[in-house]
Order: sequence, then structure tokens, then C-alpha cells
Amino acid sequence: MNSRLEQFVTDHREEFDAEGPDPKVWEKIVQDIDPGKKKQSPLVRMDWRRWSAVAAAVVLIVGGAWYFTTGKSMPQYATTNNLPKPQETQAAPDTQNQVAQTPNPLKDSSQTRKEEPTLATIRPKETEKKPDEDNSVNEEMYHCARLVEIKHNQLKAIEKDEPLLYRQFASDVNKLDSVYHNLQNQLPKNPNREQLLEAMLQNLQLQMQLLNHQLDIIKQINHSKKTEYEKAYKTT
Amino acid sequence: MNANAKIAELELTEPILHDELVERCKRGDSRAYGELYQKYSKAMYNTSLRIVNHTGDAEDVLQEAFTDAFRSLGDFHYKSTFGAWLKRIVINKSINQLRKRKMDLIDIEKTNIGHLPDEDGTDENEIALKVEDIKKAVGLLPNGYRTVLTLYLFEGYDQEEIAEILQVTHATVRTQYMRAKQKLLQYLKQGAS
Repeated sequence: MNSRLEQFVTDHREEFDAEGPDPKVWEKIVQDIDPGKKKQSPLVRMDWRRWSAVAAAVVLIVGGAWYFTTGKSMPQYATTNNLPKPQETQAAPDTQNQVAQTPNPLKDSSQTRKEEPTLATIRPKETEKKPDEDNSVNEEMYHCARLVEIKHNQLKAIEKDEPLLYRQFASDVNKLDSVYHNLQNQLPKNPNREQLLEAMLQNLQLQMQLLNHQLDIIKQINHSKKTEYEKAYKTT
Repeated sequence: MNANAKIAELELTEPILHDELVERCKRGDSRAYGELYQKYSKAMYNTSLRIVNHTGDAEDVLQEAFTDAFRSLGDFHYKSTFGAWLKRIVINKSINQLRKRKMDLIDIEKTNIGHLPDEDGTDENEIALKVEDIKKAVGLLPNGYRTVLTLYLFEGYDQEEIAEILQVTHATVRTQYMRAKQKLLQYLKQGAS
């Protein structure tokens, strides 16, 4: 097989590659790959979301740490915290009632507490702690409020694409929010400041959970849309 | 012999160099893409040009092949050198380009079957071989012959690999190559005389 022609080609192989492509080819390739570079912007947006997730985690950790360090006045709130989970949007009106009611049972419990001497002996300690506690409650509340605000803004991003869904979601959150403002208005008059603040904080946490869940739903919708689009794109 | 030794040496040392450039691309170093293009574009362009036989088509193939290669760099796992991997992409795209123009290999084979003498009519040793003449003669070959001849003679694939690339039998590749070579020598002889 190895004839003269084949040997000649092997010996002069490089000379056969003398032609050069038009420089425009590289420009076109760069243009083709460029959209890939633009794809980095969603990544940056993802980063921003991740940062808010990190912020949420930090707030939760700080909040958790606060719960554990402040000790025993806590458990009752922990249990009420577990009661209402506004995970489903339909459940929101119910939780609103529960949140609205929570200050009352708390008031009751504090009244019964006053009557009991054993608990009364603990109270001085609580009042000693109070300024500190107030501060950290305030701080946590501030963080929660800020987080709710951020998530609210994230939710607003879908207003254009899904106006109906947004309105539904927003009304659910607004119900909780109005309860929050009610509590806030009671705050100057109410002597039971600590518990009221606690209720407000709880309300904010519920708002946060609700918003998280709503954002999850949106993420799922977007994901299914994307996979559908990709399917359609691949089949064509 | 000397050339073969050189090639062997290159094959031993080159992949390591290539790896670094490819790795830089994988890490998203945009300059490395340019270097990789500089390094391979000319050889790949000539490979494609010999198959599609049209500068515009060869440039389209080159563009698509590099774009595809850069995008699927993550799928390249050094089972071969980067050059061999890229060349395979270029060749597949070049053949697709030919098929797009409805130049079917088997049709060409059938139409040309009666036109060639069964015996080896041309004596290789009588013909003066020049690079430019061979290039011209290759360009005159029908698409099917040209593809097989190019893959065997210039790109160094063996006949079984060519059979796999073109999805034809080994025997088809063998006869096609024999006829293509004969026709090429015929053109060279005509050109010389």
C-alpha cells in the first residue's frame, strides 16, 4: 500500500496545509461564545439570592443563639412557634387568626404566673435581663423585618410575569402584615411589652416562612417552564 | 524514517503542552481560547477544505467545529489528543456539509463504476509529484473519492476508521480509495503531459 504517492504526501505533509482561513472566522467564533459570557449575569443574580439565603441563615443562627442564651422564658414561644405553619397559601387566613390570638393566651399565662409565688420569685431575674432582652428582640425584629422586605422585593419580580399569582401571594402576606401593624400600634399602650414584641417577632417569622414558601413555588414554576422550553427546543 | 521518528517524538511531547492550554480554556481563560484557535485553525481549515472543496463551506465548518469544541470542552477527557478530538469534529462536520449539498457517497460510487479501467492503468513512477499539482488534482476528484482519499492519505486514518466515519463497509472504503488514487494519478499524468 505504501506507494510513492503516499510517501510523497507524508514527506511533504505540512506543505499541503498552506491555506489560511479568513480572520472573520475567529470573530464569528468569539461572537458565538460571547453569549456564554453573558450567561454570567444570571450567575451574579444567583449570587445575590444566595447572599440573601446566607443572611437568612445568619439571622436564624443569631436568633437561635439568642433563644438558647436567654433560657427559660422561651419554651412556650417555641411551642407556639411550631403550631402555625403557613406553608400553604390557603392556610394563611387560619394562621392569621392564630397569630392574632397568640397575645391573649400569653397575657393569660402571665397573669397566672403573677398569681403563683414560685414564678414570682423568678420574675426579678427576668426584669434584670429585660434591657438586654429588649435589645436583642429589637435587633432580631429589625433583621426579620429587613429580610421580609428583601423577600417581598424578590416576590415583586414576578409581578410582571404572573400578575394573578403575585396578587394572591401578596394578599396572603398582607394579611399577616396588617396583624403585625395592629400589634405595633398596641405596643405603646400595652404594659406587657415583652410578650407583644415576641408576638410581633413571631409574626415576622411567619411572614418570612410564607414568603420563602411562595418563592419556592415560583422557583418550581420557573424550573418547569425552563425544562419545558428546553424540551421544545431540543425536539425542534 | 527520520520524519517518522520526529512524528513519534512530537506525539510523545505534544499532548502535555496541549493539556495545559486546554485546561486553561476549561478554567475559562479567554486568552487560551485564542491560543488554541491559533494553534489548530490552519490545519483544521485545510483538512475541511480538502473534503468540502469550497473555501466558504470550509470556513463555516471551522467556525462551527471550534464553537462546538469550546462549548463541549467539559466532555473532552484526553482519550485522544485535543488535536485528534478536534479533527474528528471537523471531519464529521465537513462530511455533513457535503451531505447537506446532497452529495451522496454511494451515488458517486455507482456513477463512476464503469468509468475506470479495472487494471492499474497509470504507472506512479512515471509521474513527477509536486505539492501544488496534487492539491489541484485532489480538488478535481468527485466528492466521494476525494473524501476517502483525503482521510486516508492526508489525515492518516486507517481504512477501518474511515469505514466507521462514513458508515460504509471496509470493502467499500478499500475499492473507493483504490479508484480515487488511480483517478488522481490520471489527473496528474494529464496535467504533466
